[in-house]
Amino acid sequence: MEGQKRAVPARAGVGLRAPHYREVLATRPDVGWFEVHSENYFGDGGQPLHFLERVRAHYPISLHGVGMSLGTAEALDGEHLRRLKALIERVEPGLVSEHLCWSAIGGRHLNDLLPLPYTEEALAVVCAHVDEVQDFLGRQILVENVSSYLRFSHSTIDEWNFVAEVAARTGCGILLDVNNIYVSACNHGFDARRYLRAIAPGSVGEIHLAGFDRLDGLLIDTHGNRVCADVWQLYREAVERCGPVPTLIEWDTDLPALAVLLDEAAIAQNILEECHALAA
Amino acid sequence: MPSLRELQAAFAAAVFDADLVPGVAAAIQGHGMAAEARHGIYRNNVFHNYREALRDVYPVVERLVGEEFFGFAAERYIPLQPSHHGNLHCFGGAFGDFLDAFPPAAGLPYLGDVARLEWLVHESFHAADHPAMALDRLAAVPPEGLPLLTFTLHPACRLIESRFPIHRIWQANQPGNVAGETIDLGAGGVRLLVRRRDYAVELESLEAAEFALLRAFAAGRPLCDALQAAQAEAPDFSLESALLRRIGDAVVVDCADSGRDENVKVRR
Repeated sequence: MEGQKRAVPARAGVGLRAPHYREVLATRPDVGWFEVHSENYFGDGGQPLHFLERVRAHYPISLHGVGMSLGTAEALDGEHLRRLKALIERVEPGLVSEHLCWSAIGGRHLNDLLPLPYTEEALAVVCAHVDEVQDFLGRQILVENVSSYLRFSHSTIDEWNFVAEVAARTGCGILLDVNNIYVSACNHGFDARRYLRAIAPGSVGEIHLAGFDRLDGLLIDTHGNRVCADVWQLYREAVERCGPVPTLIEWDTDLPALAVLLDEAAIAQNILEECHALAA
Repeated sequence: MPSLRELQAAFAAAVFDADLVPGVAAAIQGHGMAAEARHGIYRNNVFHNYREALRDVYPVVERLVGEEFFGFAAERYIPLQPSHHGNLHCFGGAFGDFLDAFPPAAGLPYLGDVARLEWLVHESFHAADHPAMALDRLAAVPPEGLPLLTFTLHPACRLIESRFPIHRIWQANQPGNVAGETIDLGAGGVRLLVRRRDYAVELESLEAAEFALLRAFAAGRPLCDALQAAQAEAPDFSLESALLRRIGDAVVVDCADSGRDENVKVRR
């Protein structure tokens, strides 16, 4: 029973951010689950873990990492892995996810989600690291497609096939960020629907939705706006393909009132229910 | 075709040194926008993330110098102090030392101390929890065992001293305080205890003797040494009342016999 209670349901969830801790606990909004950035809880104690444990008593939790650097050409950071494992043991999250990108090289971290060249070499590196993480944690992780502002000339694999292949080779799930697909499709001029069609429906364990900004003709993935109409449409198509999966509203820049996040989550929840009703 | 390691090394180097951008631009597709400009978006993102991380940790420094100067200092600090962690909360610990040696900030000699204080506040916020110590633990120690007893401070406690009134500077620059208070830099130094109460970080000014006592505890020195350090500051220092107060308010949370290096056993 305990395990089932902690599983993240195929409902809409929102990111849990410090300015909303008290309101979440006081009002217990009707939302399926909460997601946090794992690294924000890598400290040894204090307020962040205190509130996370209190929220966790009422909602399933998803741990979403931003600092593992799965695509680095070097070894993974063992201390980072140990911290994550300790947090997982403490929080018992329903889902654990990371990004399909790199962030560190030469002992230096850039603390950003940097794009990979989509080559056989990079594919082998990512798969070895995903295997290592899953073995160390003793559980499946989800790997998220990132948005990007450049592509490398020597890439030989389409991004969507690269993502699908990582899941096929390692058994990891895919955290399908529909907004990232849209942002990258606009920035690089590919067809977002072709991307969706390349992803095996059963491999998608979670979907992310967010808003972006525009700068010099590019879409910038700021997580600072409401989800745009095109991304809602793409999301509907993704749910029709994959069935209902846990869906997160991400918002990190210019964090609005909790009510705005819940409002966006309600839109996602409606789409999940409509698609489910159609399929039934 | 660069190897993955070569590509990542060139990409990272170019983020922190604009002269090195051509080394990675050759590997980037233009597609309607210059390769250098595409790389530049990542450079901006990386610097933006670090600047925001510094702003989160150093709000008082930012308020003292203004947003523009703070951004200017951050821009120079970021390439000099590489991050070694995937956890952004670990970034920025050397900002105080950097400001000490930053010529444009030479007119604000207290800035480095304020920054070091803010870093300790940041450390305290994320430090481990620890229950208070039961007072009867001390009562159970035989009198002859007391001098060699060592005391542990709560993991969220930090100690800092400054020849500037950084406590008042810190208080006057908290959110909600209207700027305008004049602080006399010649008002003298301060010895501070940074500690957490109900998950909020608080500062407390200490007398020299108690500061010396707690600093000796933090360094793992036994009670006899710590008392000597305190009495060097104030010969009439009352150890008993200081100990009872600090055990009572969970600043001192554990004790052990340094002779046996294990928790003190209840008297047999």
